[in-house]
Amino acid sequence: MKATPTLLVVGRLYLALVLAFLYLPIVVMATMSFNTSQFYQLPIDWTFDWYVQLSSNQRLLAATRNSILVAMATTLIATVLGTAASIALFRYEFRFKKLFQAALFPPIAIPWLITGTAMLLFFFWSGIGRGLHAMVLGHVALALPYVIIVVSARLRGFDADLEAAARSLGATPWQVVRYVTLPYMAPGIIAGALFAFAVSFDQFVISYFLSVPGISTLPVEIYSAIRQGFTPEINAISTLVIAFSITLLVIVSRFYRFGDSR
Amino acid sequence: MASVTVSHVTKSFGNFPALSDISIDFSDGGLYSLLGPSGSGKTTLLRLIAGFSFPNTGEIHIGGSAVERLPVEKRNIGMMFQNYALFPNMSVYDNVAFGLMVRDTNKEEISKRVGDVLELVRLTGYDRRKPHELSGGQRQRVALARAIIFRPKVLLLDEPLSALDKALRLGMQVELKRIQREIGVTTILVTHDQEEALTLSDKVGVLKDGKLLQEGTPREIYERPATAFAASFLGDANLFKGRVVSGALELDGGSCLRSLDVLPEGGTATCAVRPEKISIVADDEVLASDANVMEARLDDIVFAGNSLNYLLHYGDIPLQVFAQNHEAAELVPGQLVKLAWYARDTILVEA
Repeated sequence: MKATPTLLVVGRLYLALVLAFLYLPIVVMATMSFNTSQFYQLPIDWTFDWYVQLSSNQRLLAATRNSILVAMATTLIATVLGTAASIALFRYEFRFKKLFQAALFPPIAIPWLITGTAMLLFFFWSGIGRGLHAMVLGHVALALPYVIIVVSARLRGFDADLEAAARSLGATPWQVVRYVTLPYMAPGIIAGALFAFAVSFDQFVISYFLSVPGISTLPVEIYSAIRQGFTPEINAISTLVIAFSITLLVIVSRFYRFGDSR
Repeated sequence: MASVTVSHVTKSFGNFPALSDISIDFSDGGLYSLLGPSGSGKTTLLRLIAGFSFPNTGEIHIGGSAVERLPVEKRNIGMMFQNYALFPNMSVYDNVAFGLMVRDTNKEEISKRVGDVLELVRLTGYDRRKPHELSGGQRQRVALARAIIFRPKVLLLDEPLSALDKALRLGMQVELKRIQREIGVTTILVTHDQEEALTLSDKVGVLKDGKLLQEGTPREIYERPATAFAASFLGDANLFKGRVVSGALELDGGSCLRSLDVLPEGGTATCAVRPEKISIVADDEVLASDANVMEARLDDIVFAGNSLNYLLHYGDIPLQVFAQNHEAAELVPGQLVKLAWYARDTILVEA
C-alpha cells in the first residue's frame, strides 16, 4: 500500500509529537542549566554560573564519585560473574538448569521498592548493614540477570564446533577461551557491562534504602536536594549525566545490535 | 605419520550402546573411510579417536602409544569439521596459523609454513580474506590447510564433502586425494555417502548399529558385500531370498539361481546382484552355461541421460537393471523381459 499525502503528514506529525514528548523536558532542563534566572525566566540569559557552583558543591560531587565507584564495582563483578554463568549455561547440562534460567527473570519484573525493602531487611538481619558495599551487593544482584541475558543471547549463535576445532588444533582450555570463545562473546560482554553500569548508575530505590547519612549516590542526592528546594545546579548535574548516558548508549549500539549475529 | 589402532572399543551414552567392541587397524599413510548411516556410530568412533570423548573400555593407539585417556589437544591430530568451523573473527592466515600459534612457533616459521600450505591447497593470495568472504570450496580448503599445517599424526575428516554442491564435490574429491598423497598423512574419513567412500579411500569399513560389519578395499566391499545391508547401502542391489535346493537358490517364482559361493544346504539364503551386472537379453541370445536367467515384468524405464534404469518385478521382488544408453532396446512397460547374469555375480549375503 502506498501512503497517501494525508497519511504521510499525519504520520510525521505523530512522530514529531512522540519525540517532543520524550525530549522536550530534557531539552528544557538542559537549556535552563545555562540560564541565569533561577525561576525559568525568558529570554534566556546564557551563563555557566550553575556549573561553576556545581564544581564547589561537595555533596553532589561526592555523591557523583560514589555513584561512579559503585557502578564500576558493580559492572566489574556482574560482568565477570554473568559471563562465567552464561558460558556454563551454554556449555553444560546440569540439574535444575531450566529452573535456574527461569529464576533469572523475576528480579527484573519485581518492583525495585519490594526488592529494596527485602534487601534492607536481609542486610540488616545478616549484619552486612548499609553503605556503599551493601549498594554494590544490591546492584550486582540487580544487574546480573541483565548481563546473563545479554551475554547468553550473543552465545546462542555460537558454534560449539569452533571450540572443538580449536582444541583439535592443540589449544589448551585457556587458549580456547582466550582466542575463540571470548573474541566471539566480546560484543555481548561489552553490551552486558554497559547494561550493568547503567542499571547501577540509574538505581535510586535500592541505593536510597541502603545509603547511610553522609554517604549516598547521585540519584539519592538529587532527590534529597529537590526536596529541600530546587536549584539550577540540579539541572547542571542532570545535563552532565544525560550527556554521559547518551555517550554510553551510542557505545552500546555500536557493539550490540539486538537480534543480529554479526 | 603414524598408524592408528582401535582395539575392542566400546562406548555407550546412558543405556544406548553407540559402539560395541570395535577393532580396526588404520594403516600408516592410508585413507580409510568409516561408512554408515546416521546412528551407526561412525562419528562417535571418530570423536573417540580425536579425543573429544573417551571409550568405556578398549584401547586406542596412535603411532604405537596408548592415547585413549589423552584429551584432544594432546593427541596431535588434525581434524576437519563438517561445517568447517573456521574462526569467523580471524583471517584465512590466522585461521591456518592457529595450530602453530598455540604451539608457540616463531613468527617467521609460521609465515613460511602458512605460505607453503596455502600453496598446497591452492589458495595463495587469500591470506587476508575473512571466512565469510570465501566460497564453500575455498572454506573447505582453508579448513584442510588449518588441519594439516602442524603436521599432525592423523588427519580426521568428518563428512568432508557433504556441504558442497555436486559439481564442486567431484573436484574436491580429486583434490583431497592429491593432498593426502602428497603429505602422506594417515587419514580417517567419516561419511554416509557411499560414492565418497568408494572414490576416496584405500579401505572402507562399513558400520551399522555400533558394529563393524565389514571392511576391505572399495572394490572388495562393492563386489563382495557380506550382508544385505552392505550390499544395498553401498550402491544398489537386487536381493533374492529363497531356499537352497541342491546347491542353488530356489525362488518363490520357481527360478533357480546359481552362485559361486557355497550356499547353506537345506536352509534359506539371500543373494545380492548388482543392477549393472544384469543384462536384458533377447530370447534367442546364446548365454554362458553358468548364466542365471529369469523372466521379469518391466514396470518402468527411467531415462538418466547416459544410462537407463529399468524397474522390474519378479513375483513380489522389485528389481533394478542399469544399462548404458547405447544398447537401449525397444521395450514397453508391462511386457515380460528376459534377464541374465553370471553366477559369479550372484553373491551370498547375510540377510
